[in-house]
Formats: sequence, C-alpha cells, structure tokens
Amino acid sequence: MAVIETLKLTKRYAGGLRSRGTLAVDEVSLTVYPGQVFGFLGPNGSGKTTTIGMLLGIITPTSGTFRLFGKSGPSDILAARQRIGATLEYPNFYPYLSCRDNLRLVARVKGRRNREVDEVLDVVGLADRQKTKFSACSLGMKQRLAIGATLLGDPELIVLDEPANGLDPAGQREIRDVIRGLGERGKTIFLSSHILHDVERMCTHVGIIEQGRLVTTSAVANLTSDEPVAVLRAECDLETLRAAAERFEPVRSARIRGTEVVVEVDEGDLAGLNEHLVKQGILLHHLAVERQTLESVFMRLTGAGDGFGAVA
Amino acid sequence: MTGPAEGGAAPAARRYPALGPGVWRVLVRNEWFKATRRLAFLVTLGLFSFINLMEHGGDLRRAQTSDDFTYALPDAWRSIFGEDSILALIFGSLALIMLVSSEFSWRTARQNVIDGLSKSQWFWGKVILVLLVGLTFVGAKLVIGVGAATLGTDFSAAARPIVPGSAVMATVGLLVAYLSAASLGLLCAVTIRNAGPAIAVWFFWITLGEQLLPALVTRVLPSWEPIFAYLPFASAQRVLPFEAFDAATYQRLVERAAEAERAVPEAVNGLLWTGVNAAWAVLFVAVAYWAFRRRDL
Repeated sequence: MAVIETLKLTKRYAGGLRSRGTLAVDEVSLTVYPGQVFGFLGPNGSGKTTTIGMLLGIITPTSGTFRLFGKSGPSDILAARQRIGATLEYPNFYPYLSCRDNLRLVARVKGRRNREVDEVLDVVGLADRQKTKFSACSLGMKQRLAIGATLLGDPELIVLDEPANGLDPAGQREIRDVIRGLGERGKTIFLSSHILHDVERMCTHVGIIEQGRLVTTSAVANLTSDEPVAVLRAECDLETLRAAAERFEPVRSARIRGTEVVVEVDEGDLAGLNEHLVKQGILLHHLAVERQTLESVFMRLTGAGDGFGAVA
Repeated sequence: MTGPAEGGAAPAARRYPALGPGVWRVLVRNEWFKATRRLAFLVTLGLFSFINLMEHGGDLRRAQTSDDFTYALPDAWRSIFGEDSILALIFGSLALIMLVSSEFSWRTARQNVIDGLSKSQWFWGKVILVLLVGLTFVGAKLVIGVGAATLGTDFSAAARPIVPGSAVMATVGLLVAYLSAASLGLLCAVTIRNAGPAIAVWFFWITLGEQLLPALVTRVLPSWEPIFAYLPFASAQRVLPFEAFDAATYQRLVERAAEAERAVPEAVNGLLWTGVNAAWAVLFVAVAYWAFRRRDL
C-alpha cells in the first residue's frame, strides 16, 4: 500500500475578474511507498509547497484526488494525518513560548506525554536550550525544533519542506544527519529541497516538478550515473569532432551537446583519445571528465541549465 | 517513543486526541496555555483589572469616608454592573482579536492543522478561547467589584440576599453581551488575519459604524429607526445596567426620576436583550466559520 498517492492533483489560485488565476499545480500524479526517502524537487514557485499543502489539509485542491496510507475522504484523511509529522516552509511556532513549551503544545495535539518531548529535544540537540524562547532561537535551532515537532508521536511518514533552508553548511550537515538517521530507521520521508547534492545523498527516489507539472519521478539510482563521460571542445566544427571521436575504438558513443561533444569512454583511454584526435588534425582546447549527477539531471529537465552540469 | 497503534477507531481515538472527544480537553488546555503566556493578553487583563480596582476601590474608599454613600452588598451590584461594564467587552474583545489574528501572521494556525487538528477543530478552539477570555474578564470584574464591596458589607445586618438571582442573571447578561462583541472580533480576526486592521475594523464598527449606518439609512427610510436598536453593540449596551435584570433597582430609579422630575428611564427586558445578543454571537460565529472554512491557511 502506498503511503502517498496523488491522482491528477491540481490547484488553481483564483485571479482577478479577467484572469483565470494561477495554475500552481497541474495534474500531479505521484506515488510514495513505505520506506522510501522521496525528494520532491523543483525551482522556486514550481508548486512543491502547494502540493505538500494539499496533502496536509491546509490547501484545498481545485481538482484531482489523493490518498494517504490508502485512505481518502475527510474523516479517513484526518485519521491518516495523525500518522504524519510535517513542517511546511519556515518553522512556525509561537515566538513568545520556549522551545519546550512549543513542543508541549504539539505533544498534546498528538496525544503524547511530556516525557516524549524531552526525548525529542535530546534527538534534535535542543535539550540544553529548551527554555530559550522561539523568537530568540537561531535559524538552525528553529529548523531543529521544527524537525523535533515532526518527530513527536513517532510518525510513519515525515514531510519536510526545505528543512535546510537558510542554514550554514554545518547546520545543513546536522539536518542531513538527522534525516539520514530517520531514513535508516525505516521512516518514509517526503522531502522538498533546493540542495540537490543533499537530496542525491539522502533520497532513494525523486520527483521533479516544473511549473506545476511533474516532469519525472524515478529512483535516484536510475537518474544518476557513476559512469564518467568526456567533454570535448575544439576549433573545428562539432560534427567533424564527433565523427573523429567516434572512430576511436574504445569510444562507446559520441554526441553533440550545445557547443561541445560528449563522449562515453573509460578514463584510462582519454590520453589515447586525445592522441587519436591530434593525428586526425584536431587540436582540443578543452577536455574534461563529468559524471551525471542529480543536479545535472535537474538542470536539464527544468531547463535551468543544459545537460551535465557538475564536474566530478 | 512508541510505535503507532492499529486496530479500529476506538484505539485510534485513544491514541490521537483529534479523532475523539479528547480533543476538546486539548483545545481548552492549549488555548488557555497560549493566552496566559501572551504578554498582550496579560497587559490587557492587567489594565482592565487596574481600572476596575481604581473604580471599585474608589467606591469603597468613598463609602468609608462619606456618610451619605454606601458601597456594600447587595446594593453594590448596581455599581458592579454599571454602564462602565462596557470595558469588559472592549478589553476582552481586543485581547481576543490579538490572540486569534496573530495565529495567522505567525502561521501557527496552519502548523496546528499540520500537527493533526482539522480546520474545524482549530476554529472551535478559537470559539473556546472567546469563552475563556470572556470568563476571565467578567471574572476579574466580579472578583474586584465583589471583593471591594465585601470589605464594606456587614454580613450580619444584611436583610436581603447578598447574591440575588438578578445578580446571577446580570452576570450571564454581561457574559452574553461580551460574547456578541467578541464574536464580531473573532469574525474580524479570521477574515482579516492581521491584528492591526482587524482591531481597526472592529473598533470602527462599535464607535462609528453603528452610529453612521442608522443616520444614513433613516434619511431614506425613517421608519427603520427602531430596527437599529437591535444592532450588535447597541443591544449589548442594553443588558449592561443592573436594572435590566433587577426590578427593585429599576423601581427605585423610577421613583428617583419622579422625585427629581426627570424623564423616567426606559424599562429594559434583560432576558429578551440577552437573547438578542446571543443571536448575534451565534450569527457572527457562523459567518466566521463559513469564511474561515472556504479559505486556505
């Protein structure tokens, strides 16, 4: 049974009299299964938060349906939401209350005891700062408190929207460690993030959304590859370069990408490839090795960049 | 941390308060917890209490230093439930608007729903808050007013009941009048979702709106004038004086007016106007619920 299942989920925000409004989410259908760490990726304004908001009951879908733990319908969905711990966008707490008091409020709603509040404060490393007012917390503390609130009640599904937003590298690493630990404990995690290399390291599956439409959903391993490719640039025309490279026997494939040629070849054969091209009268002025990362896939699918972006 | 419980609605309701009657207890506890730690609420309550302390303390002091003035129960009920009881409506409603509207600016309303409450449960939590704030402010007024009057009362010499039934009814009337005004505040808070503008709209209505509207409409439709007596704040003010519920006090006022050759004060049916106020409160809560439900958080 899927933990999250959406079918053509759509949200159109009302516009003015002469406007049809803004289509924030456009027929998104995705499925998240138990135990997956699902990364929900997309540029700013692509509809990630709106999609999550619909699942969490704070935004009413315009059309389409969704199921949580196989349940749909208002009362069943309310019951299913009790099994979810979630935080949306910025951590939202009462600024005049302490970290502990804020968690106590959440614990009461979730039917948990104060003892569990203490446990969660320990897990997220806020036990020493539990009396600090939320308004006096650093952004990192606020994010950790938000994660702590999601952990109360030991939820089966954890939904985190940009959990590392605004954190420094050390804070990002802390949050990453907490999320990774949750994944290792078998929790299903639905995570939206801009930090693609973090997502690549933490997530088992990803969905990429662009302008409200789900562009792809796949296992991370299927999207990325450890196999390197060589990127070549020379003064000659690209087709001549591609054809010359392809004639070199160890090359498995060669294709033109923008202003360069991408060649699938083992790293050990690169010197030979260069020598082969020189013999063909082609002098390279750029030869680099790249790996296909989640970031490069994301850039390609969302049009934010052209193909392989990250240099290994 | 323990794992989730399975096996039917009853165990689920026990584990998750939002799925059973236990949610009401959680809502009361959480709303009270949040309110009593909020400086804005405490300052408003403190200021209201201070004004009441000055007023009733002043009455007591005057009674102790003057032979022709008494401040003792049961006569003091008329002083406790005077027209200045309107301050309970104003201070209580202001505190309520601040408490509710900040839930939107801090986005804690949406987080409460994310944490497991339904949108309806969240709203009913605010209705509970309306009641809690009302009980606090009316309670503060009674404690201070009755407390001061008790110091001047010779209980052994009291010929009439210290707490007559009319005092209880006047308390209910004051609370219902507050509920009417505060429900309008709740409506402003959940629709405007920002403390400053919500207070401004609420205050505009009670100070100018209810004066302007009749003045404008009766120019065109003079026969409508009696209807405007039923406007929310106008009806709330009708149940504030003690004589609306106490026939003996009203009779004394009539006699005094006759002696002084002044106009006889209008008799007010306290129960009827309490009903009108209750109807306004129900209407405002219903409209607030409708407006709240149809918008995203």
